[in-house]
Amino acid sequence: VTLRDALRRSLWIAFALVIVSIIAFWGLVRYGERYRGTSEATPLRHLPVFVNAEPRNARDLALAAMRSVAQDRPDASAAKAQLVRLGGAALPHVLPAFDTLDSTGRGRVALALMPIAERMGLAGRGELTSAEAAVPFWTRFWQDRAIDYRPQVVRRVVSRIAERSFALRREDIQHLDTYAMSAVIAELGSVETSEDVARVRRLTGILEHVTGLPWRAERGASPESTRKLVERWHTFWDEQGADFSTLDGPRRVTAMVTETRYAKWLSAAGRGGLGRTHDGRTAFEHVREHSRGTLAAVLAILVLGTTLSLIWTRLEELDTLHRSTRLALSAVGITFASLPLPALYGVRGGYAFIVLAGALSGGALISRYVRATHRLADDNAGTGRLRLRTLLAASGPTIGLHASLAISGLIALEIAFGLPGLGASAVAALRAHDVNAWMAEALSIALSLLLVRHISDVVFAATSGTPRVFLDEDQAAS
Amino acid sequence: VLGILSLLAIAGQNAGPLLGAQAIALRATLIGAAIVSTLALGVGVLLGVVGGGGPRLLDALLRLVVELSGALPSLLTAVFLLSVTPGWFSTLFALGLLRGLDIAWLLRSELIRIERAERGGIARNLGHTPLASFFRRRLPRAVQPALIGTSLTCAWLLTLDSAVSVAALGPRQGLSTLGALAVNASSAPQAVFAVMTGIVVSAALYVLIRALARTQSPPNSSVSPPVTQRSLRSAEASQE
Repeated sequence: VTLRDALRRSLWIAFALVIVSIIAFWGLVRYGERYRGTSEATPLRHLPVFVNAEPRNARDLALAAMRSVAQDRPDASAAKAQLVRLGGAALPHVLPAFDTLDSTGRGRVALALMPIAERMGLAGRGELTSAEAAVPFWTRFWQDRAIDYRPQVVRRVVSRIAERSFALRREDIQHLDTYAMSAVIAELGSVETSEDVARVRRLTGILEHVTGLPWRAERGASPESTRKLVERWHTFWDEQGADFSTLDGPRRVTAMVTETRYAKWLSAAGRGGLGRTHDGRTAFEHVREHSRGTLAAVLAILVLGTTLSLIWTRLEELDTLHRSTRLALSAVGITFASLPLPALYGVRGGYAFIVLAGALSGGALISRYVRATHRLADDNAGTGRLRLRTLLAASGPTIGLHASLAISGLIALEIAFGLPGLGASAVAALRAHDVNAWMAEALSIALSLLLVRHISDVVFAATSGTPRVFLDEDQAAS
Repeated sequence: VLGILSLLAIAGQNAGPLLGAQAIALRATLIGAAIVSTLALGVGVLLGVVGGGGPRLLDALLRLVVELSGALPSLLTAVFLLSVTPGWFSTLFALGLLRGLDIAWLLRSELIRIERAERGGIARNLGHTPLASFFRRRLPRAVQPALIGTSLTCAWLLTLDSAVSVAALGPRQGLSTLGALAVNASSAPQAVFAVMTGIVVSAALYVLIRALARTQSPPNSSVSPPVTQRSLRSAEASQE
């Protein structure tokens, strides 16, 4: 195998993993819809899976809610709640549109926005209860503050407060409300030192205030717990961030891909550790914990199964049917005798039984293919090492195919014996719709299978190109 | 022997309903195995010939599809197929295509192996055109592993069926196959009998198709025998 070949195969495996991740994700969604009714536990259920033709954003949501409130439609109370939730992010779209509304509608919308003014600290509770007072209030507000509602201004203010806290700057951000959220989330950054913890504490205080979610770093919190808190805010932003952002031009085109469930998973996986599973650990830790026994068992099954198949085929070739039969019966006997192992020796016993059963069935299957191939050439296959190469060449393509079925059997046996393996864990994640755990485990299994297939490919290529079956052309010519 | 043991196992039990359930499960399994095997062989031979004897681009395409289809365990692929296909027959159709890819890969690999081994010269030296050489010499030889693959399709299907039932990933009701019966049986004898029936059916289909493969085994009378080490040795011996 040359370096170029290795590189080509690595790139190919990476490409295959991307495709597999799409298939696995789609499979998870379809399985959830078919057998769990809907994916009811998924917070991203409102998003399409791969392509979002009409990505939601603050402008669309705010204007739709504004129209609903202005016209006093049946869903007006839900629309009012939506306007309050959108907060400052809705103001740059709603306030300039006041002129398009009639006076009654304008009054209704201005009153619906008053809880936002209270949250911003611009009005006391119960102040400005009439439309006549509320409309001029918001008109003046926009005349004074429109200049602050620009991304560059917000980023500057947020980065200053991330560096050091000043009451005046806090007030500035408070007046921007949810409009500043994307900049605040971006400033959370990584958490390594106590300074990072202090910064996160300042920023999460703002986030807590504008969203009402009680996720604020405590005074004296450890970097580890603060990191988890930051991750929680990132997850929140992944799920709901689009509602507080305005998508224009290229961002709208990009959002057609990024505002999908698959992209959200990618984003969560890319933040490190392949995302968090339902039990709070990272998916990487989850896979590492469950994969050891399973991958060792798969490797043992393939190596033992292939060896057994070669021995079997060779014994059959030598016309020692009684020997091959004896070998087969011994293998079956040992496998049945090992049936109590899981009950007696727990996890290790369980895997020992799986390896024996898998190697036996794998050996039998591969030997049938090898025999069918090799029977055609057994007059010509030479002796000793040449014959072994011929056998290996014949078994090469079947090993990769067998691996896929072997893992299926392994998953079933892991579940049957209650073993904490990768297969059983992947099935549990599929059933529970644990996206991060499922994707990490499915990709680990896929990577193992792709590696097995490429290794068997290399074996096939290395052994099938040698002149062993028929004479060389120059020999034939002579 | 396994069948007799199974019958002994259920003796004394309520044999009538048990056998009825077995018969229904057996019928569903046989129908499924027949559909999947036939489709797999047809698709497999077609794609295998294209991959092993056609342009390299098509071979690369076949490689891509086979590799992707095999990158997830068959169990999970089967579960996804159950999720996306609207009915039982369409699931079988999809499984047939999936298995066909495996068989195509075996056939394609064997065609390439024979091509490399023959080094393209021997058959032409014997007077065959490349096309005749392909269809009269290489393909009949290469199709043997594909036939073995087809003969093992019933066992493949039963393994998947049982694995889906064990993992409780498929439909909870409405399916009555031997694999599902073995896993979800109401009593131990019923489960044992279902397992035994599954093994017997798989073995019977394997033996049947293997016998067919042997009758198709080359060389046949219309093809000249290849020049081999053994034939060369025997020729030298006769000259001596």
